[in-house]
This record gives sequence, C-alpha cells and structure tokens, in this order.
Amino acid sequence: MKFVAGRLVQMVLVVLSVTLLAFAALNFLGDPLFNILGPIADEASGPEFDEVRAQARADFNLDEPFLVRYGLWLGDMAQGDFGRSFANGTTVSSEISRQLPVTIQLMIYAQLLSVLISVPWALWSASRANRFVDKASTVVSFGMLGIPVFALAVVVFWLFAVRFDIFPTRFDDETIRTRLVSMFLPAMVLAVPLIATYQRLLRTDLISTLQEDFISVARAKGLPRWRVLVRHALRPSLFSMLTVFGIQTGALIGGSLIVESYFAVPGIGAGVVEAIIRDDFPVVLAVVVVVTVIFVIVNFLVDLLYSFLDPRVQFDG
Amino acid sequence: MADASTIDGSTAFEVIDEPAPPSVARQLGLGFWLSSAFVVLVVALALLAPILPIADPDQTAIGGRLEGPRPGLWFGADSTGRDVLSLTIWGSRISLLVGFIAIVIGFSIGGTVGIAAGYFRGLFDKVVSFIFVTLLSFPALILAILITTLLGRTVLWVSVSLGVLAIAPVGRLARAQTLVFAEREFVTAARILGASDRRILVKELLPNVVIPMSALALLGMGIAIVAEGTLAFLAISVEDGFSWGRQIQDAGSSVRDLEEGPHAALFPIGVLFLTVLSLNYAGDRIRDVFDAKELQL
Amino acid sequence: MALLEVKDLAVTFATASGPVYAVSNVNFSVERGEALGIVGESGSGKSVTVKSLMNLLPSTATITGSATYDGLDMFNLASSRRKHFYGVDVAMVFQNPMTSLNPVKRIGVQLTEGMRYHRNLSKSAAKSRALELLDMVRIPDSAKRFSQYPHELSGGMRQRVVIAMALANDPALLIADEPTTALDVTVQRDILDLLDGLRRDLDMALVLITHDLGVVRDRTDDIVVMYGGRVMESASTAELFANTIHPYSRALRRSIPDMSMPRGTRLDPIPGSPPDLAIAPAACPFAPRCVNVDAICKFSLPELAPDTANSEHLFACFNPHGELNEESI
Repeated sequence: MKFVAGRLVQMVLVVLSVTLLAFAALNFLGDPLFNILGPIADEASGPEFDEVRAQARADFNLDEPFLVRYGLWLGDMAQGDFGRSFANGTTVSSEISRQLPVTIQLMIYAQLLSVLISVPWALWSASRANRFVDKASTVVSFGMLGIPVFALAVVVFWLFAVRFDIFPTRFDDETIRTRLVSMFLPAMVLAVPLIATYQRLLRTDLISTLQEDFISVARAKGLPRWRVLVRHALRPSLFSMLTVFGIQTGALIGGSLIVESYFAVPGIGAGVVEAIIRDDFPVVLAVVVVVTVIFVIVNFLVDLLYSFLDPRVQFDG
Repeated sequence: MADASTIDGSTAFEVIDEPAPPSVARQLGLGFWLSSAFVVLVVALALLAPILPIADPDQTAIGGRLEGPRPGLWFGADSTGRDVLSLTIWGSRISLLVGFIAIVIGFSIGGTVGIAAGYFRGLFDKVVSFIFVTLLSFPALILAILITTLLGRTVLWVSVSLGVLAIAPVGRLARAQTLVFAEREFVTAARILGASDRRILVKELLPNVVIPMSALALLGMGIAIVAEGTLAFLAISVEDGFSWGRQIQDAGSSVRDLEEGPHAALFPIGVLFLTVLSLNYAGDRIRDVFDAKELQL
Repeated sequence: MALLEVKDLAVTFATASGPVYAVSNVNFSVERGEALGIVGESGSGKSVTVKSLMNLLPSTATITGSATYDGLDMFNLASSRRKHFYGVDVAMVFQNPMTSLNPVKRIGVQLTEGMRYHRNLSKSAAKSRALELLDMVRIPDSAKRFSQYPHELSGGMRQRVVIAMALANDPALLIADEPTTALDVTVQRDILDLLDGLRRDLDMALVLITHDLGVVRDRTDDIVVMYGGRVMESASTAELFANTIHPYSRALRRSIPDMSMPRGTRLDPIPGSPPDLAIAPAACPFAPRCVNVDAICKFSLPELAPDTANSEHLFACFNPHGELNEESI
C-alpha cells in the first residue's frame, strides 16, 4: 500500500500546484478585481458601482494576502462552490454539473471507439508483422497521427454530414439513439489520433510478446491462432497502451474543446471556450480545476490497473 | 527458436567484408529529403509572400463566391471571393512564426533547465522534475488558453503560451539525455582532467544532447503550428492576424459554405496537413537514424 | 505402421543474408508407446525438427519431406482433422519452464483451456481433470496450485505444470524438447523419471530431445544422433551404446559422465563449434572437428547407410574407424 499512498500524495501535490498556478495567473496577470468581477469593474463608474466594487473586494477577500485568498478560494472549491458566472449569474457549479456529463460521455465514447478499432487493428497487423498489411497500417497510422484535430473535424463534417448525408449536422439530444448518432462524428474525430497511437504501441508490444515461449506453448496446445492472440498475447502486451491511455486523457480534454465547439455539443469544452471569449473567469478557473482533478484521477486509476494486467506487479513492492 | 537464433547469430558472425555504412544523407532516405523540401518551400513562400505575384489576400471579389479552382485562381475563391491560394500563403506567416518562436522559447528554457537538472542532480533536479510533472498535469490547451486570455492575444503572447507548453516535454528529454551522457566515459574523463562544469556542459554534453533535441524540435514545431491553428480555430489566437487555423475556421464553419465550395477549407487543410506530416516525418527520420548510431557506439 | 514416421525432412530458413539449411535429410520413426531420443549439441537442428512437426516454425521456414502420424500426412492435415490434432494427438513440453507459462494467467486457466477447447468440457469437469493431472505429475497441494500464478511456483514445479498441460488430452505422442536443460541439477532426474513413468503408465510414445546421451540411455528404445542439421547415427539404444560407430557419437559419449566408465576416466569436450548452416552442405558437417577426418570427408557428403553387421543401425560416415588416412586416397 506504500505505492498507493505515495501516488496519493503526489496527486494532491499536483492538484494543489495546478490550482495555485491558475489562481496566481488570475490574480497577478491583469487586475484581479476585473478578473473576478468581470467587465463592470472597468466600464461602470459612479458611486453605486464603487459600492459594488467595495462589496466585491470584501466578498472575494481582495484585501487579504494572496495565500490567504488562495486558501479561502480552495476551501470554497472543495465544497463545490465555484462562484457565479459573469455572463448570466448562474452558479458555476450548476453550469458544470450540466456540461460535465456530456463531455465525459463524449470522452468515454471516443475512448471506446479507439479501443474497439485499435485493438483488432493491432492484432491484425502484429500477426502479419512486416507483411504488406502491416506496412500499409504503419503508413496509415502515421498519417492519422499527423492530422490536426480541428482540420479533421472540418473534413469529417464535410464528408459525412454535408457531402454524404450520413450523420446529422446538429447535436440531437432527443433520445439516447439520436444522441449516440449525433455524437458519433465528434467522438470519431477525437478517436482518430488515439487509434493511431494505440495501434502503434500495441502492435510493437504484441510483436515482442509473440516471440515468447508461452505463445509457442499455447499454440502447441492446438488453440487456434486468433485465440492465442487474444487470450495469451493481448493482455501481457497492454502496458504501453495503458500508460498512454492515461496521458491521452489530457489530449482528449484539449480535443473536446475543439470538437464540442465545432459540432455544437453542449459540454464543458464548448462551455469553457465561450467563457474565455467573454472573459468569464470563474467558469474558466472552475473548469481548469475540475479537468485537472479528472486527469490526475484517471492517471491514478491507470496505475492501479497495472496490477490487474500483471499479477507480478505488487503495490507494496 | 533457440536453434534458429543460434543459426542467425553464427551467420552474422561469418560475414567478413561488411559493406561500409551508408552516408547519413542516404540513411535519412528519400522521404526525409522530400519532406524537408516541402517544408523549405512552405517557409520560402511565407517569407517571400510580399513580393510574390499573388493577389492581395484582403481583396474580395477576385473570384466569384466560392468559385472553384481554375488556372490563375489555383485554389479557388472563398465565400467573399478572396483568393484562397493567396490567403493560404499569407496565413502561413503567422502559423510558422508562432510555431518558431514557441519552439525557441520552449527549447531555450526547457533545454537549459533540463540539462542543468540532469547534470547537477540533487534538490534542484527534484524541484525541476516536480515542476515538469505539474506542467504536464495541466491539460495543455487549457493552459495555453489561460495564458493568452490573461496576457493578450498577440503573436508574442500566443507564442509564449505555446512555448511554456513545450518546456516540460523538452526539459524531460534534455534531462534524460543528460543523465545518459553524464555517465559516459568521455564526460567522466573530462571531469577527472579537471574541466569546469561549464566546460563539460558546453563542450561535452551539449553537442550530444542537441541531436536528439533537434528531432524533437521538428516534431515540436509541427505541434506548435497545430496548437496555434487550434487556438485560431477557436477564435482565441492572435486577434488581428490571419493564420491557417482562422482560415480553416472561416471556410469550414458554415454548412452552406461547405456545401457550395468545400475547396476553400480543404486546400488550407491539405497544406497544413502536409506541412505537419513533413515536419513529423523529418523529425522521426532524424531520431531513427541517430538512435541507431547511438547503438553502434 | 509406426506412429510417427519422418522421411527426408528438411527445413530451410529464409534470412536477410540468404537461406539457412537448418535441417536436412532427417529420417526416423517412433512406434506406439515407445521412446525415441534425439541427441545433439545446440544448433544441431533437433529443436527445429520437432518444431516443424508441431507446426511452430515461423513463416520464413520452408519444410520439405514428409512426416506421417498414424498414416496421416502431418504437413497437409485436413482442416477438420487439424483443428483437434495438436494438443490432442501430439503434445509438446518445452525447454524453459520459466518462460513456458503465461505470467498473467492462473495455472488452472492454462491447464484447462486446452481440454475445454478440444473436448468441450464444462468448467467443473475440466477442473477435476486438471487436479487429477496435477496429482499425476506429483504436484502436492494441487487445489492450491490450481489458483496460483506461475511466478508463485518453482522451476521444477512449473515444468511439472507444463507436462500436466501437455497430458491434458491424453496424447498418443509427447515431444519433450530438452525438458530439463533449464532446471537445477537436483530436479532434472525427477522430471526425467516422471516423464519416463508417465510414458509407461499412459502407454504414450515419447520423443525426448537432449544434448546429453546419459539422459536417454535408460529411458529410450531408440536414439537418433544429429549434428549440423543432419542425422549422424541412428540405432536402438542398446545397439548404439554397445557399438557406437560415428566419431561424433563417440565424442559425445566421451564428453559426458557415464556410470559405466572406470573411475578416473577423463571427460573430453569436443573441440571446435557447430558448423555454419548458411552454407549448403557439400561435405560432412563434422569434418572440421572430427578425429578421423579424411580427404573425402571434406568434399563429399556421407549418406546415412546401414551397418553391415546390423541393418537397423544407420550411420553417415566415410571413415568411422579411422582406417583411412590422407595418404591412402
């Protein structure tokens, strides 16, 4: 359990540093009053606004030292109080709790698609290593890694929603089915670079696993080829892919900003882009915190999964 | 396969006149030179844009609305009749400039700090490594957005924010490379001979760390160009500038425009894709060739 | 009809630097319930030979010649027969028990998957059969072992598990490829005796591959001695030890400890190293290391031929008794 404890301490440290950095950025880069209060801090003048400003200074403890303010703010955050959005005065936590599930669904959808496509693909190319199929696969996955997500979004949208009317052009929340269908293109766009990454890593690991004696043993048992691949070679080959699975969550979060904005999916990514454009700092800050916490937790879970993949990995080792 | 491998081993051993290793230029391969040529072409066009015989990118109604490609208007026209080729060439200027500055920032800071951490070790290394972990824990795009939003959407600040993103990955690689080389005989030898830290760092370590880093620089340049494009696509990059991302967003955001003339979006996408692909491929080749050399040492 | 009959078997690997002639001209047969020893140094082609029979060679290998199992052409099995052939009729035990078991799967799963696939056994039926097998290979605490992972077992235990796995579907032919080479000396004999006992109890044919003539002496009916991918000598075990003809076989005998040797006999390792198989054999592969080498050995390839005194005793040598010498040709 020493391992788990060590990772937990690291997680907390990372979350603290990230939030401190974000909070410091909002406080030291530009006028914190403006950053907190929004446009009225600058634009409006007159005694009644002076009062608002004074009220805000008091509300947000602007006269306290920086670290105290950070502590107070962190306390609020921990209790789920993310403040109010400048734009419409709703609480940020209600915005986030509305948008976050959509984004999480999108990310799970994308990860699911990538795993479902990359794993069979890697199995296929690894079982035919260095033959034509495998070489062609390498070229294709290299290309897939090079496409910028936003460019891919435009091409895919044009091809499958405009040129050929296979998928709807708008997000449709009516039923689960329409939601799945209308989220397919965004999820696919997010999945493309993941598919290529997973395929490459898994293929390399599979090829080295297939050299192992226990694969010969399994084949000597008379098990069919695909069964040996799936039952014996796959699991010991998943390490690199799993490591990257965690890291890629960060890329997915970035990608969700683009994809949600472009495909008008009402998730946290589209929300934060809007918030940035209208300088809605409480929203931005909250998203940074929420997203970082998710990212760190996913990577922690990935570490735990190692022991499932290889019983020899012991946490207290 | 014990038997087959001994067979292979013994045959490899028997080969007496081993052919001389091919030159580095040849090892890099045709693909590397084609990619490099394409990158050079794009850069040259960007630099020469003001004196090239192309239409003014801001002038509308040069062609019809979303008119398709034709001789003289090779990439066609966009929804306001502007010349897409001219827009693409002018758009490359900001994309490439931001990519370049970002890489310079990322490498000078990340590289220096990483090498120092790997060389001096100790507490400094621990602190630096933790900062790298923290930076990498930030979803990259959000960090970039945060910085540009707070500092302003100018070429400089956009480049700075992307440069900051490069610090951690570059620093980690520089640190790892330095750790590898700091243990090598030639560094130990220099140290025993009483060379100063400064001399060892500059004369012995830097040249060995630079080659793998140059591969990363090409890859990083591609990433930075995409990142700028992404910010521009989200309308949060350089405010009064026009880059590929902005151009693609302009032409690709309306269903109607895409229906009538997808070329206005697809041409800049194609150029962007080829540029990034070329940078990636060239970087990969350099890394492969020099990694292999590394093994022969 | 012999259970396994191998005729003119040759295996060539395509490599970047040209073909490698790993095995050529291999002939032998195994009767039902009998044991055959294949003996040779590493690189002699014995492993490649059995891997070709088990269909375990990579796609770079080209196999010619024939191998029949119970009259069935093993290299051209009908797909319906092939589906339940390996692991059922013929099974194999590998050299290194440390790497023969999948590290991420429990012993029980690895033991039962073969029977469940080939015989459609239920989970519980497969488990009781697996426990029976573990008892058969004398693994104590079989129920506990069943749910353990390979890394929790010692090397000797793991090899017993590998043997149990091979026996799962009552094979008529078991191939054991240097089953004790990777083990501690102290457990080598136990494993060999276990294999020998199982062969007798289960009336199973056994092909035992080893580099150690001593291992096969009391445990096999026939012996094939291989060198450089070719059969050097083949005879019944008793005949081979009574009348060792080939200089290589004799060198092998001298290089191993032998209980029948008088005390104080020196062991002679064979000087030199195995031949380069990238060159198509045009001379006796053993010539460079042979004490009886003669001019003819260097430019002609001896055929495997019966001894005049015993037509069952084959050997491939021009000068087995050192009668020839350079001058006489």
